Amino acid sequence: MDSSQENMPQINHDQDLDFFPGTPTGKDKDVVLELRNLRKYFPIKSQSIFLSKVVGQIKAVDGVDLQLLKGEILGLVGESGCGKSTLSKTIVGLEKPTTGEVWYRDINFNKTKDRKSIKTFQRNVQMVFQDPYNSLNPRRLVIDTLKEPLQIHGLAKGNRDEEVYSILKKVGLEDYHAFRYPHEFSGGQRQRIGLARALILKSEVIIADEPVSALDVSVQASILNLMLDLRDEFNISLIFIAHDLSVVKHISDRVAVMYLGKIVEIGPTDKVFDKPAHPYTVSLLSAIPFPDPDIKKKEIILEGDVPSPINLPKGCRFVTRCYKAQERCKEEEPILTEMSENQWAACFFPEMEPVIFFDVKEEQK
Amino acid sequence: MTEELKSKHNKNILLVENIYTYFKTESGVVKALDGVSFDIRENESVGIVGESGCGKTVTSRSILRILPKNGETVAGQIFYKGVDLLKLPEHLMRVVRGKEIALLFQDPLSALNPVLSIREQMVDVIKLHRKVNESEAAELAINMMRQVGIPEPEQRIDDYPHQYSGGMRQRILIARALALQPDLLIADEPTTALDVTIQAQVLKIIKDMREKLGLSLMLITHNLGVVSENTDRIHIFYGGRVVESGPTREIFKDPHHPYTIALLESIPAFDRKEKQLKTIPGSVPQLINPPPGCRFHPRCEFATEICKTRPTLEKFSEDRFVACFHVEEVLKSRKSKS
Repeated sequence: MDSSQENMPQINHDQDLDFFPGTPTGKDKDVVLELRNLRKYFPIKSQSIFLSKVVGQIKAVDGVDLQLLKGEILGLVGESGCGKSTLSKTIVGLEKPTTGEVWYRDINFNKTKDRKSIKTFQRNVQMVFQDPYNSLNPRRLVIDTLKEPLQIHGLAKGNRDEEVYSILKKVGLEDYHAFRYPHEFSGGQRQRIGLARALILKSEVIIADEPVSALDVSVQASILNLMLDLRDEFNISLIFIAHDLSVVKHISDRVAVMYLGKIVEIGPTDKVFDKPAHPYTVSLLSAIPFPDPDIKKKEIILEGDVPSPINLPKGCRFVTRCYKAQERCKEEEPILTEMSENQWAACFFPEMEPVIFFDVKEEQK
Repeated sequence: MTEELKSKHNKNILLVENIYTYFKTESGVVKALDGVSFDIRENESVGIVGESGCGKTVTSRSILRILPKNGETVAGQIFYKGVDLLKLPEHLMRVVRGKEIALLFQDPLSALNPVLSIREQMVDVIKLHRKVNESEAAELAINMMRQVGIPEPEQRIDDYPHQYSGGMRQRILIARALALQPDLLIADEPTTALDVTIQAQVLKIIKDMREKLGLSLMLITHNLGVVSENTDRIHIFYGGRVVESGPTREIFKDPHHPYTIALLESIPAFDRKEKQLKTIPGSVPQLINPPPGCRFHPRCEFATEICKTRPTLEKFSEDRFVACFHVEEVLKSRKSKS
């Protein structure tokens, strides 16, 4: 590895860390995916023609610890530039982490040299992309797109066509759709094909990066229903990345809120949405417009934009926009602490107050 | 002009009457707008809501007469302050654009010229429409930038678009649009490209400026949350027609048209417990070869034979209009469900 890691904060992660922030404790939990202190830094090079020198680093993902349980949907929210997409790419191996490890069950994907282990990881950790228009090869029939993962992993020899038909059926498409090209489908149908491609390997973990944000609401609803059905049927685990909080609230069992490369709050969906602890979660919830005129909420409008991940503020990364910021926040970086059972947040002055009020009368007292 | 229309004009800043906008394409004529009627009253904020391809954007382009070359508004009338914009000569239309009706685009980056400084882009527009000299125009621009919350506008006015963030660019566009003191602002998905916290900032600015300047707003969006919180009335579009219109609060509380009902049920609501979302069977109609009659009937659970003829947008109760033959049944079934 390169020398750039030397001045990085080192957390000593034991082989079997007995707790992870936000994961329900318990002996019988079935962890399928584990991220240990995952970091992804992108170097910034000086613009010299002859000698390119690294002058800084973009800290896209800056120390993420996370466990994903069997059959669980974990929602990952945050604004653009918070590192959601980089994190998902780093998990599936499209980006190499700067430090840290991604574990699928007992396979350390970033350390293992064993080809079989790598294949097992790749077969079990699949990704669904945001844009259903660009993530399918326009010159390939759907059947060829769907058969390719089976060929790569040498699965279902002899009856691959049947596998394709059966998975198409699962995602709500028909046999004859297999012999069409991507352009013959609508956006929602294409996203179904994207899901079919991830599911055909019977993966245990699916990373879905904004899978519904390019779709209209009525189509979005059918894809969300489909994802919930597929989860129940195959008992897959999902990391569901989205910026739309109502979608995340609807689909996920647990939520992680990211800000500038770090998880600032994580916990069971109901808890995080009912009584958010981190001021950033509070302001996110306050900022979403609700399609219900009777909902009232605390009005907190954040000032300014997300700061650049190159020059991170010292102390808490949210300090530049936080409405509760104190001197301490500028000096010291808060770490994830348990605020209520299984709800963890990285803040010295947590809120723990409801932001959204469904019953207006009650709130007006 | 009929008496009825005249009385309507007294309170309407914009009255769109039965417009048809067609596009000629290689595969046929696309009936993007197929008899659209709606109004916007003075100092009112009106939402235009619908899914992609329902004609929201074409409506704003038709009003300002900035359609692409293959598109034409073939019939109908668009009254702005009582004047039919479709009959207005081009040189007067150029005065209307910007000075009377301003348009805010979805993508703030492509709406700004990347090789000109903000100063050039703001000053040019202001000088074109208002009788001011260079320095007065710059002063106006700076003042406007300050009002929309751009820090240090005196320095930042000489920056280029790429030096601004997405939210700041949208602020620049708002400042530029409002510097001309228009009476109607058409905002076409103004916050779709922005993050939620930035969206909240921009919507707040639009709201504040609207109050300060007494502006009417036509807010085009597919985000039902945004319309719910920012408009007084809404017009729901489907397949190039208005299917329902009325006060925002009433429509959200008690939708009448089957499409509106289905649309509202398909969004994941915060207080909804059940995990299955309602979906609308089928897909959005092809506007080259749309279904006859009510555009929604192939996907509608209430559809009967009569739906193959065209329903008109009729007054149902005070301020509420619905284009559906089966409103009574729809409402009855909704009541029995709840």
